Parts: sequence; structure tokens; C-alpha cells
Amino acid sequence: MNYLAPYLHHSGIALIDNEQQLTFSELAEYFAHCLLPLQGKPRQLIAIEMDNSLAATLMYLACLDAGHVALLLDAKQAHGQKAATVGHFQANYWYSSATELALQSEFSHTLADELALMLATSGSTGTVKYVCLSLQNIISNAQSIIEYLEISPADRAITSLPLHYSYGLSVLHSHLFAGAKTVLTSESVMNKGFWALMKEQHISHLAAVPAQYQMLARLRLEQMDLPHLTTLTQAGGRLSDSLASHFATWAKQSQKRFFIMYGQTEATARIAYLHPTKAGTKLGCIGQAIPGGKLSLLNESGELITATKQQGELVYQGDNVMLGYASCVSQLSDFPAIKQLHTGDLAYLDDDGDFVISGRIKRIIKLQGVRFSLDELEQRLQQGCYPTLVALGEDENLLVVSVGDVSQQEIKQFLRLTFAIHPSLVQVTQISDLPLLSNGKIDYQTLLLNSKVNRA
Amino acid sequence: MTNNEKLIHLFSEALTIAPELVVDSLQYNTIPQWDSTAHMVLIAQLEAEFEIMLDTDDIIDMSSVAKAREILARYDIDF
Repeated sequence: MNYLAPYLHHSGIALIDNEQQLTFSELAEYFAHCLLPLQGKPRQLIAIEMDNSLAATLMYLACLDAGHVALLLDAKQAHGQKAATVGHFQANYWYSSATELALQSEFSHTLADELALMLATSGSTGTVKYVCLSLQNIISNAQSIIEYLEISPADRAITSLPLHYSYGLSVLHSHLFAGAKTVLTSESVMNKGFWALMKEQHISHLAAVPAQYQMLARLRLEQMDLPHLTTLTQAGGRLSDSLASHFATWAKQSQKRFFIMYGQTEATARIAYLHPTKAGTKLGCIGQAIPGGKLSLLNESGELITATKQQGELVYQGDNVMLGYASCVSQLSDFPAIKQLHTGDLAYLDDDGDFVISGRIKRIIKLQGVRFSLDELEQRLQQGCYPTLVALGEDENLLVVSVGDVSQQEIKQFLRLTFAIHPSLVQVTQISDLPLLSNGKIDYQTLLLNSKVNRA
Repeated sequence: MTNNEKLIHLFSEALTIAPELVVDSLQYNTIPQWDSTAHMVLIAQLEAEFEIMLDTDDIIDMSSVAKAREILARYDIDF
């Protein structure tokens, strides 16, 4: 089967890297070539080190096209960590641009018919919990994105984000299926090479997470000569109010569109977006559900909230809601239907009927667009540094609180080496007593509020 | 502190490496500690410490410790 064929009937260039460019009509031939070693085999589970190279991108798309299951690995992870994931899920093949397709296991998997893609849920805390997605999820989300971003074949995207990450991948999917061109690079926005490509390739869409917007501000994007850039998108955690207003103002002045978006890997990528005309005027607002999706709010008893200004859990329904999670091989065979996705985020409706994020139920934060479980970070800090440490915080700001004397330097160095968290994103504070809830658990909310007051 | 000492201190802080490792030949993206995040932190600290505003081209051209010194010299920072 060529499952992607119906979505790739376009003309012109589809993918380009610094050496090669491929037209849409050439893709099928390259897919076939990628999968030559798998000829005659049933559906396989293939772990792909998804660097932003043309080779890895073709391998991934070839798997989708042929109906194999692609498990995407962060190519930058330590070899041992990648090997552990490959072994844990008994992947049949392991692909990297260096070693190409290498046979790992002849294990005969029972893979659910719909299963097409597996993406990691969290950064580098080491949990092997994967989000499982279908081709239908991918296509549906890409089509919604094409519709609200109005992506046309004349558009040109660049891989400013890693492709093993759902937001990065959604940029590829949406442009590819819209017949637009995607420029593949692993250069960072802080690199000279990236900006050379932006200019030479007439890039029209730039996608970035909050940490990158901080870099773009530092680079004074507003002073660069980028006449072809028409659209900027932001996702991957909340953008600070100051950066949101800064880029919204600039976008308005220079007739560019700035989309603040909201999503989760569990929804393939995108869930909601704020219309660019509202950017900068409504801080913290994520707007409306993407086309084809539905957002609602539930109170603590699980009842629907319809009134404005009442906080509840944000839940989402749409064809892009994942099949489910998998933490082991046996969970790949069958996925009970998920009616709606509980996002774990708290939100309310404002007077215009737009959704505003107001908090988070789950103990999760995003640092540089990477999701971290605070409970896991806390556990690792207690094992690796001091048993008295507690982890909390908000996006782009990890707070480590200690009861008693500790070395700030040691904690920051530990986080840097173990999780690649830069010290500028970490604050270490000391307190004499931990605030506790009536059930004896740590009162993280009070702790966070106190630390904000202390900083102010 | 001389300007050179300041420079080494800022590199060491932003990259979280020992001051002895901040040598002229040290290059951006050749060690895991000098990644894009560290580079941004470094630029912010250089701008604050030396009270300058670097041009975009200078920010993305600052590919080594030697190059940083060369670029800063153009902003009248003497080494």
C-alpha cells in the first residue's frame, strides 16, 4: 500500500537539504528505495533516529507510506538511552543516517492496524512512555493546520525544530501535504547557517518554541531583512507576556502573521490557536480549537462548564487525539477508544469565548520546549544531589527548593549534565520548612507563590 | 578585573565550564556546553557587562573565543 500517495499529488519541490532537492513526483521512488531491505516482510516496528536530515525524513515518510510503525528517537540522546528504547520495544530495525537500516530483532509483533507512529512523551527523564498515533491522526491534524495557517503550495518552511518532536514534525506534515516546500536543516536559530538558509530559500513560515523566541529577540529579528517571511508560529509552552507583546507588535507593524498556538503530542501536535489579529492583546489566551476539533471545560465533578470566567480542566475532542499510550510491547496490539483528551491544563473562557490557560493539574513543566515531569526531576535530584530537594516551577523556570544548606553550583551542574538543563533556567532557593497540605503532601502551590513573592 | 578576565569569567559562567577551558581555540557547537542556549546566555551577559548592543551578524559570527575578542574590539572593548 502507498498510504501517503493521495496526499502527495503535488508538483514542484517537496524536500530540500544542503545537497539535494526532491520533487513530489520523485518521493515514491525514494520511499521504495529506503525500504528495499524490508521487502516481503510483514509490518515492522522501526526505530528511527530522527535528525533533521533528508535521509531520516525519507525513511520516516517511507514507513508511514508502507504502513510500518515508526518509533522516533532523539538522535542527540546518548547511545545507551537509544539502545534501551530500541530493546524495550523490541524494534525490528534501528535506523540512523550513519548506520542506515540495521536489523535488531526478528520478534513477530502484534501491532494494532491503526498504529503508525510513536513519539516520546517527555524529555530526558528516562521514562519509556510513548504516544501512539495513527495515520488518520497525522493527516487530520495536518489538514486542520493547513486550513487555519492557510498554507499554500507557494509556502516554504524550515525545520527550526527537531523532527522527533511533535511540533517540529507537524511543520513538516502540514507543508508536505499542502504541496509546499520544506527546507531541512539541523542548524539552530543561533547559527549563521540558519539565517543564510532563511534568506536564500525565501522561507515564509518560521516555527519556534518560547526559548527560541528569546533567542530571536536577542538576535533582534525585527531588524533583519526577511521580506519573504510572512508567518511566525509559537507553541511548546507558554510564551512570556513580554515576548508575546514584543513579537505581536512587530508582526503588526511589518505585516506578518503571528500565531500563538496550543497543543500536545497526545493530540498529534496542535489543539488550539489564537487568531493573529488578537495576538498581543490577550495575553495567556490560546483562542479557539483548530478546525475540526472541539474544546470544552470540565469542573472537578466532571461536569461541563458553560459560564465564562470559571476555571476547569481543558478537554479536547478531535480526529487528532492519539490512539493511546504505550509503555511496553504488549500495549501496541490494541488501543481502547479515547473519547476525549484530558489535557491536564486548567483554563477558563473569557468574554469573547476564547480559552485562557490559567494553570496545570499535572506536575509538568516545559524547558526549551522539552517536557519534564517534576516528580521525576525531583526524584532524580534527591538521588543524585541531596535527599532534601523539591522540584517545582513554571515553563522556562525550574525551581529547586531545599530545606537546609546545599551547594547551588552542584545542583545546577547536576541538572546541566544529567538533563542538559541550562543553569539560566534554574533557580535554587532555601527554606526552613516545607508547607504541607492537610493530607501531609507537599503544598507545591503555596511554595510556588511564596517563591514568586520573594523574587518580586 | 581586566576585560580579558571579565571575558573568561562570562564564558565560564554561560557555558558552565572551568575558566581554564576558556581558550582562544574553543569553538561554538564543538562541546555540548556551548550550545545555542548557552550562546544566547553568553550574548546577554556580554551585552550587560560591556554595556553594548551587538549586531545580529556579530552575534551569529561569534563562533570562538578568539572571534569574540575580535568582535568586541570593534565595540571599543580593549583587550
